Formats: sequence, C-alpha cells, structure tokens
Amino acid sequence: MKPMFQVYDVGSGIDLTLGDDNEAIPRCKVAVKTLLQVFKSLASIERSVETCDINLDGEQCRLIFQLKCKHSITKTHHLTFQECESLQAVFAKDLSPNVLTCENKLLSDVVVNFSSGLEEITMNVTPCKVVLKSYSDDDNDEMAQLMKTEVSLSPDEFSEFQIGVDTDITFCLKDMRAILAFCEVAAMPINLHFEVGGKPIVFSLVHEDYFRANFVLATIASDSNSQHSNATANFTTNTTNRSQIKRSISNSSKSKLPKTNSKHLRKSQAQGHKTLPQAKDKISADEMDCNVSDHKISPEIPLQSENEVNVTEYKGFSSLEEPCFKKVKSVFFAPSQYEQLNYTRTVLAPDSDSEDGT
Amino acid sequence: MVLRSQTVDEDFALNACIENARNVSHILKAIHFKDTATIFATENGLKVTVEDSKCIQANAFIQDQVFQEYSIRDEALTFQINLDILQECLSIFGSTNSATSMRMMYNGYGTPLVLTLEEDGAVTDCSIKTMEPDDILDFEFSAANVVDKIIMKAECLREAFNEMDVTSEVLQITMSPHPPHFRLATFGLLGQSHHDIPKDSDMVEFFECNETQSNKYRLNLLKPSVKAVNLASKVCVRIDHRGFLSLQFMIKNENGQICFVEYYCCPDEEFNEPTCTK
Repeated sequence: MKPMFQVYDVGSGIDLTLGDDNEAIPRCKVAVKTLLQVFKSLASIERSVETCDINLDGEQCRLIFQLKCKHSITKTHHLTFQECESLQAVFAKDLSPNVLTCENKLLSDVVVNFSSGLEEITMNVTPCKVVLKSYSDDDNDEMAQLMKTEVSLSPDEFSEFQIGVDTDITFCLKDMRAILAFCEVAAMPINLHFEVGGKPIVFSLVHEDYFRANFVLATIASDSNSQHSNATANFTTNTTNRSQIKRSISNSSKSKLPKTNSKHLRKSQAQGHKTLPQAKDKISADEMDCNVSDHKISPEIPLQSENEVNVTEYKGFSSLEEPCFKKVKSVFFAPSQYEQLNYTRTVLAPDSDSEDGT
Repeated sequence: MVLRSQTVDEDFALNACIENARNVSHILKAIHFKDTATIFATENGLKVTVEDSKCIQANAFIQDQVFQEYSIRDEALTFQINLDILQECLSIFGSTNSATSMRMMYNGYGTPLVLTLEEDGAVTDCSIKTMEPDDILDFEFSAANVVDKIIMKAECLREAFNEMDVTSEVLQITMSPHPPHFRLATFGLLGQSHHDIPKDSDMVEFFECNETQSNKYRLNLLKPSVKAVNLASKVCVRIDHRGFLSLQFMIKNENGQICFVEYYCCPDEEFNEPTCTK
C-alpha cells in the first residue's frame, strides 16, 4: 500500500510492529464536529490548501492541524482531545461465510426507497436473492406499522456473491447511509462480510493506493426478531395487478396456515390486540383472492421462526415464477377506521380449534 | 400617487437620479443588519449609517458621481428611515437583467422620501416616511491615531470570515511587525483557530505596523461585516491606539464605480482587569 502521508513520524520509542496492543501508542478521541470544523469548506480547501500538517501535542493536550494555503496564508487549528481506550471489535472478516461485493450506487439506490426516519433495516440473504426490508421493533411506533418497504436484489447485481449461510441480519440503517455516503466520495466498490444475526456485519472498502476502511456494525441477534414481528398484520398490493389485494388477516386465515405459524399467531393474540390493525370491515368474498387456498399464506406477517428462514417467499403473488429483480414492494397498511377494531369481526373461515370463540 | 413631472423637481431639497437602482441597493446590502438607517445627504453624496448596541457602526458612502443627476439645496440633510422598506422599494421590480432607474426626492424635515422607479415602461412611486434622526456615535477614529494598517484583497478575508468558528464569542485580531504579521484568532468550544496572513503574501497590498497590538472584538457584532466582505474587492483594516477597529471595504458596483463601506467596532473590554476610574 502506498503511503498516504508525506511525512509520518510517531516519535521515537514507539515500535509500530507490536500491533494494536502496544500501550505506548497514544490513543485519543476528538469530537467529530470539532474535526469537521477544520475541513469546513471543502471547495476552498481544494482550491487553496497546499499542505496539511497534523501534530499531536501531548504537553498542551492539543491536536494541531496546520493548513498551509496559497498566498502564504496559514490556518492553524488547535483542537482539544480526550484520551481514551480504543474499542476493539471482535470480528474475523476473512472468515465470514457470506460476502457480497457491489458498487456503492446499487446500495445507495436501494436505501433511498426507505423512509428517512427508519432506524434499522433487515437484510435477508439466500443463494437466490438478497432482500432488504424495513425493520421495526417498537410496537408503539405507528408510523413504522403503517408502511414497510422491501427491495429484492438478484445475485447478478453483485460483483461478488457468496452466501454460505442463509440468514436475516438486522442493523442500523442510519449507519449504513453514512457508510454509503463515504463510499460515494471514495468511489470504490463496497464489500459486505457477515454471518448471522448477532454477529457483526463488516462493510469494507479498500482504496489500493491509500487506505482500507472497515465499518463494523452490530446486528440484532436473530432470536429476538420473532417476538417483535408477530404483532403486525399487513396486506400487500401486487404492483402489477391491483385487483388481487390480498389481506392476510390472522383470524380468518389461520386455518390455512401451517401449524407452526398459527402457534405464533395465537401467541400474538394472547399478547394483546393493540397492534393488530386489520382492515376487516371491508372484506368481501370478491376481494379475497380465490387463489388463497393454493398458496401458503405466509405471513405477510414477518415471522422469524427457526423453521422459516425465508419469510418472504411471496407465494401469495401469482407472479412468483418470475425472479424478483430489484423489485420495490412497498407494503402499505393502514386501518381505515381504528374504532372498528373492537367490533365483532366477521370471520369467514373459522378455525375449528379456535380459542377466542369467534 | 401622482407621477411627478420633471419641472417640479427643482423645488426639492434633495433630488437625485440614477440609471441603475441596483448600484444603490447593492451597497446598502453591505450594511443592512438593522432595520433603520440614518441618511446624511451632502453635496458630496449620501452617507447611510447603521448602528448596533452602541458598539458597532457601519457607514456606506455613495458619492454624487454615482448618480446621473444629483442636486441638493441645503448644506446637509439628515433623516432616519426604515432600511428594510427602502431596500424593498429599490428592488420592487425583482431581480431582473434590465436596469431599474430611480429618482429620489426629499423635501426637508418632516417630508417623506419619495422614490420613483421605472423599468421597461412600468413605473412605481414609493413614499417612505422619514423619522427624527437619532444621535450617531462618533468613534473619533482619526487617521493620525492609526497604529496598525493593512490593505489586502478581500478574498482572503472572505475565507477567514466565512470559516470562522461561530462558537467563539470573540475574534482576536493581532497585528505585529514580527511574524505572524496579521492573525485572526477564535476561541471556541472546538478549540483555538488561527488564520495567519503574512505581510509578504501576494494578497497583501500594504502593511504598516509599528507596535504589536492584540485586541478582542465580539464576534456577534462583527458578523454583519461578513456581508460587506462578500461584496468587496479590497479591505483595509486599521486599528488605532485605543484598539478601535476600522474595516474599510471597497465595493465595485455594476458600472465599475467604486463605493466605500466602513465598519467601526470597539474592542471587548476584559472585565477582570482593574479599571482606572477618574
């Protein structure tokens, strides 16, 4: 790797070959806002700065940036810093069973579809495709319950696509957006290394000439997913055929669900109906898709049981046979009248062993 | 409003006409940080003054040569006017490529300032109430007392002012015969920053400094001068023996004529210093 710095002097007495555990290496942290102040106006920096000297003055406790500009002008910034212990993320990037490499534009175009307030995103990978969907673990967050977004990507979109373990992995979308913004500036492809939920996901970027960047994000452990996603029921609109509005209502379709799913559903009902917005009032036989019996109605309720890794099999869509190439499926759900939730529901296909007696 | 005909004009105490009203509004932008301004009209032209907190004063000089016609009956006329309204009237036709011509008339104490603006055949009459002028601060800044002086191209000061650390309460200006010759320093939450301009820089046209002087000025008071820096082509920074700061900005208008804008600011006193009372 070529050196990024023209002069790099860490002072005598520090043996760089000892690695990160070397106590003698000074470690400090600087507020990002403070650092950004130095590089406030990028346009003027590109235009006028000739060299930048960075010095760590231990005695005065200042990190000094001296920018020498054209016309002999000098800008000096003495920034305060704090000493700290560095966090070491425990991860073995090279041992990750799942590796994806793509241009940053691909992921940037994908994340643009998700609402800006969304905190976390779930990535579901199988050898056939990669699906990114919005994630919400906050039952009280009505906005999150109202709209869920999903985007599917095919393996062709990636320059490297290696999936050793099918998995759902959930991590912070905001962090991902920041990483993608950096990749755009660096104009480099991005690599994702990950295993399963609970283990870190690493976004890495190598600029051959100057730097390597590893962004390690924590992910939500997969067993906690199941409790959160039970609560929502939703209906999907197939973007190609509006008449096939499928409503998967947990009560009425219970009988058609495979056993494992119905257990989860009952559990969710026992927990309370507060987050079961279900637009049952408008159901008629016409609207129910006659193809229902042919398909496994799996949940548009995104259950994350161990038996079901691929929650979104989309078997409810008649156009399943086509591979999903980067299709944006915006799943919209909104109760038309909230008050009616408490009214007696018309159950079209009651479960014979129904507990709630409706 | 009645359109005033040419023949009535000689009766006015002040009568000025300009082909491009932007030449006036452009200069006034550089001092527009308060809503009222005091206008002094003399035979040499107009001086528009804006003040704040009794600590900072900005003056814009629009010489009579900038106007196509300029006549004044009395020695000097003074009145106070709402600068927001004046600027709005001057740009009443919006920002277009064609020039708006303006006639400005004032008939002495108690009368309104009348503006007639014309662009492409459309004519607007504005009558703006004038007010009793408040006393203007006299900073007693004389050229004889100037200790340090530097004239430089506005670009370098523009960068410095625009990048300044806004969390700093003060701006310290240090001028010295030794390097760094001219230093702008801020002390903010982020740390200390210096912007140094040496006297031999090619941006500096004139540098005179006899003794090292370092003075602090409230950054929020100097903030309005950023407007002037952005419009100027050259800046002259002068500090007198009391530490009072004078910033003079040379601003070129669309016709290439030069107008000057001046800012005076008094230094920030350190409260922990013992003060001598007489």
